[in-house]
Amino acid sequence: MRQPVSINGILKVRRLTIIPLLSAGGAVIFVFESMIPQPLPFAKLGLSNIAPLIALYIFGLPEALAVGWLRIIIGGLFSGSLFSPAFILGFSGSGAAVLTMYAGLLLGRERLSPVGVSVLGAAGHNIAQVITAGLLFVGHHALWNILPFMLLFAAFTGAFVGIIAWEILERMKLID
Amino acid sequence: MDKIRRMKKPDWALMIGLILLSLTLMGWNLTRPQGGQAVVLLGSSVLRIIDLSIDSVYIIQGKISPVTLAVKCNSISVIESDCPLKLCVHRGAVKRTGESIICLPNNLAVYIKKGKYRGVDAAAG
Repeated sequence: MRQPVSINGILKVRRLTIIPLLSAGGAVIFVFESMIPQPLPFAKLGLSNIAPLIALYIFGLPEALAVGWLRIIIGGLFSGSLFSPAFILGFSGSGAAVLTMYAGLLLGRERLSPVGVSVLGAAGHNIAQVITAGLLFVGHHALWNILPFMLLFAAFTGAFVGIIAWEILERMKLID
Repeated sequence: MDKIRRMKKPDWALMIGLILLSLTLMGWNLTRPQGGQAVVLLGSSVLRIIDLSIDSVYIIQGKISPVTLAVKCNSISVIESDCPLKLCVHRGAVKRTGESIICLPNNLAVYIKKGKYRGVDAAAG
């Protein structure tokens, strides 16, 4: 299931170093982002999604899931929101984002650039969050009304995140 | 900027598709009819049902603070709440069926239900 990469094979050491590096980077962005005041509940950039997106391109699905969830756990630990509702929402959202991004990647690298993959991930993230919030916390369909606004935002924030991740991937010379 | 130029057609299609989808959903929400009653939920249990045809002010005890609801001209809004972000207050007035105001810190949700207000007994049943 591993994605082909331009570097020749993936050394175990390389995996052992890059995965924590990406998780740590993601966690730092995650914590910094939670310090930015949010004017609206859905207006979040989701910059920390760069980390799992890069992991998905370098390695594959399991590593991307690990990076995605590690950054939420570490970030939650630092921002003091571990196991709070926001943490659970982030956890489910991150998992869904990685899965939808993986689905996007399966469509083919020649069809979809990291920008498209990231937009898919952002949309998956928001949909999963609304479903989780509806199931666990609000228990009501009224929450669905917020979804269009979240998706509208996701189209732009997802593209922004995708452009940054693409730039990083190219500068790291990990994809052509 | 170089990345934007190098984005492929499916990338644009995805972005534009997502924007159109969200706009359609928003537009669809606007076409909904006005509802006659507001249901106030604390968690997932119905706290009370409010008749929107009578202008009034209600104070409801949320999880962390009392929440003041105001009914005016068939619409309802949260005018006061002690939650940190005050998203429920900024949400403004709602009046269409299915529209809602949610205050997560207070675990409170108000949504509009269609049909005429049928009294307290209807709420119990």
